[in-house]
Amino acid sequence: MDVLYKIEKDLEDFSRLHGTFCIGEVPDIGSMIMILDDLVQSGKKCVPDTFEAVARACRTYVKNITLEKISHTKPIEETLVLMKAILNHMKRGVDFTFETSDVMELLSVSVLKEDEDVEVLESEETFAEDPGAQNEASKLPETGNSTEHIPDALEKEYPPPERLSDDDMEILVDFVSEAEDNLDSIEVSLIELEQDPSDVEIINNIFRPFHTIKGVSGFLSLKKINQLSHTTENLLDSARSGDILIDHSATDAILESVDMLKKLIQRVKQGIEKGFGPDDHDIDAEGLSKQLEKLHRKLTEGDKSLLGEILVEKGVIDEASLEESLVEQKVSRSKKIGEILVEKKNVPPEEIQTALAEQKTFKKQVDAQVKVSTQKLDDLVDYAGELVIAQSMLRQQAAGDSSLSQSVEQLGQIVTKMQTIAMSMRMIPIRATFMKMIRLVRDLSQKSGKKVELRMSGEDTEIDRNVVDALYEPMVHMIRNSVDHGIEKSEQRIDSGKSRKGNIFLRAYHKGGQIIIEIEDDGKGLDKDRIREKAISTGLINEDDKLTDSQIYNLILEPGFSTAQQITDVSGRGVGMDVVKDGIEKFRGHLNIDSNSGKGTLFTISLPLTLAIIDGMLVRVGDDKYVIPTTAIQRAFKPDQKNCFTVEDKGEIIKERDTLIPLLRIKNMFEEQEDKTPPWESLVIVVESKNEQKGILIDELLGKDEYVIKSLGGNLKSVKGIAGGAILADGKVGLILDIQGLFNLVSTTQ
Amino acid sequence: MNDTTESMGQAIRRMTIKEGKYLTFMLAKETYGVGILKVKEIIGMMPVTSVPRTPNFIKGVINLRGKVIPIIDLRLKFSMESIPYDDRTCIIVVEIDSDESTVLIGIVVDSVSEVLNIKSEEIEETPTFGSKLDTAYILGMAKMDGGVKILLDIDKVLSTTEIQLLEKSGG
Repeated sequence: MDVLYKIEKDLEDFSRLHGTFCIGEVPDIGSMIMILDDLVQSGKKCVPDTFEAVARACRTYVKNITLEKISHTKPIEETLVLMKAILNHMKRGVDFTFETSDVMELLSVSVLKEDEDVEVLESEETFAEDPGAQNEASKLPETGNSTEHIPDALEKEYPPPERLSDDDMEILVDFVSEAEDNLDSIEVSLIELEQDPSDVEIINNIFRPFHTIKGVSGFLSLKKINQLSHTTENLLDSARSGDILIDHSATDAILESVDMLKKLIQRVKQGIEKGFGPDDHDIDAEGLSKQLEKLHRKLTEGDKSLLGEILVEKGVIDEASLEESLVEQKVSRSKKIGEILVEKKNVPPEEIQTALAEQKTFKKQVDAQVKVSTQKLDDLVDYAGELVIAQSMLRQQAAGDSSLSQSVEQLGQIVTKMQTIAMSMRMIPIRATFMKMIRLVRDLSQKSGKKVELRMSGEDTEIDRNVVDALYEPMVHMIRNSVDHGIEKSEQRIDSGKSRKGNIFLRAYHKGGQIIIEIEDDGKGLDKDRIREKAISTGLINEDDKLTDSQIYNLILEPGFSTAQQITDVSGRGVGMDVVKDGIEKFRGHLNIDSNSGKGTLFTISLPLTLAIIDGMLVRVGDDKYVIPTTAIQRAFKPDQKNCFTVEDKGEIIKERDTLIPLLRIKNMFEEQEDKTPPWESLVIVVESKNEQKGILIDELLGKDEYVIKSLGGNLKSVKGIAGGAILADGKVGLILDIQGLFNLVSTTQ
Repeated sequence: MNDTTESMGQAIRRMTIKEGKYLTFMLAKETYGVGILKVKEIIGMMPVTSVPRTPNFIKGVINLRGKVIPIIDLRLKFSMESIPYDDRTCIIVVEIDSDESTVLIGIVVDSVSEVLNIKSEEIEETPTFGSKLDTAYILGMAKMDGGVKILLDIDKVLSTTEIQLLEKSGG
């Protein structure tokens, strides 16, 4: 115990030193080495030699800093974390069975070969990299048949999950959210990889997230996640270096691993909610790991080394010596084909290097990203807007002073730019949602036995992130419907002269300030007669109702409507399209259905670009200014006196082009005061909601603009007839009218 | 026995909780105080957009640096006679605990006085004044050399339910 205490103290000192350390400060390095010496000594007394090895490697690294051979301190940071993790494990008396090779690699990367310490280190590294040994160690608790690791065997009595400390909790929460993102991105890349299995860049895109998950889960003692991601990573690593080719079976296996990891991470999440470590004893990650390893082996043996092929092509070696080396590689599996070739003096190392470089000619994607909470983004948008207002006030004050107004103009340009950027930060490409659909279609087509291909366009269309989230569910429903009801079985398709494979098109584009998303299939289309029949039988319509085609199609959006003759796993429970419709309308969107019998169905979703901004018309009524959403406005006109009529001297109507339009007076409704201006002296704006038209009397049209919708705050969230507030150009708050709410007011109070 | 000790403890805690710093302000000739931790900022009077179909004490909404917040006239809320706003009139922006989160609300007062440190021995329980006066939102009365300060439980003054109820009866 004393040793552990000493290690802990030393580590604390070390991290303090490292925290304030700058390259070139020799005295600091001196003290660091002294501490590391102590740590190595203490490490010798500890049971697993991992700690000693790590400390030793770190010391060598720090020494090299002194000799000015290296100038990075990042590896030291990583080592510190690793050492602390090992210490934690030792304290608990549990074996540390996680990867240390990453850190070791970092530490040894620029260290010169002649140093003794490095060799110790390298042997350690190969041990850790050997997947077999790795597994043996982490498998023990489950199998419990080892005689050497008695304490581990006792763990078969699954201990209850540990209670989490606040610090752990925070790290775990971060890990979960990051891992979820990572897994999603893996899924997408995997499907891309299926199309082009040799694309190293895609393999890298898959490899990196697995690597991250493996690394972090190791430090967090999430054994199963660590182990599974490790085996998967190994497989991908081989693919990355060109030793194997990811084929269909490999993709399936990796997808399975992704699903399993998702399950495990879900457990971690559940654990966090209860404040405990994950309880995942019932999930068997072991089997899948083994399966992955087996596959790995099979692929390595079955495939010729791609690196070898490159070399043969270049004429550096001949087929025979390649074969020979491949045989040798089978014997000593840990070595790479390149290493064997160099050892046998068949190829000069430089040639291997160039061949390797050729193999890895992928562009590195450099898109550094920062995660920011949406709250902060919203605040930024708010402040940017406020800046615009402050700047316009400043401009008014600066009028007359030419040099000052010039500066204000300059400021104005910056402010405008800043506002545009702030607004655009809320927008993200719809790609991520589309990509999820690929996986969905893949699974669905496997389940239903239909061959379906998803074709996408406009994945880079940018859309407000809240809308993106809201779109996911409706899209899933619609695609399910298309696969299940729309696309026919292969035989049927060939009979009707279509291609064997069904197609689903997914398109996104901007049109007139709206985002349009189309989901089209080339299946059998909607069956008008069946929909009609069904609607009559459920009492939705009467037998003698005359409906247009589009009205019939729209019937499938009614709750509880499903024409599927049999309920399948995929869809057909009669919940669906009405949910889709509600989901879209909640975001001020619109769903349209078009179908051509025998040719296919087209669903069109139109949504506002962003939920935060509306196009509005600013109007003046008396002294008050209101914003009317342009989508509701039909037209505006000045009525003739002869077209104005009253009902019982109270209700007012206007006759316009043979239609009677009831009039609303905002003042009467809102302020309970009598507004008696005759209609022919003011303007009428005709607004529509739910196929109902009414005219609103206003005094003046002030202009059209985009307005950021804001909640009225506090307790004023549900004022009838008001949708929210908007900051006007003069800095005052204007009220946005809720047309439907206004109509409801009239229908209840008058 | 246990019960009494507990309630005694609670009473003491309640008294000590009231102790602390208060921002005092004037309404007519009376001095009021709100807990300083509730106060976000004090701003001068600015243009208010009135919101229709709300109780009369809700003056409307203002633009507080891009945020829309409701403004309440405390004189009207306490059914006192309203006076025209002048350059002494202030809006105290307070943070109210709502159901899910905290919301910002501005209260209009005649003028802001000072920040006082009020000790628990200076605070007295609110006496009852009969049915004319609802004292539920008064924390207590502080006897200071300068007179009596009425300490407000601002959360209760501007409670969500009350405003919503009023909203319904108003509409």
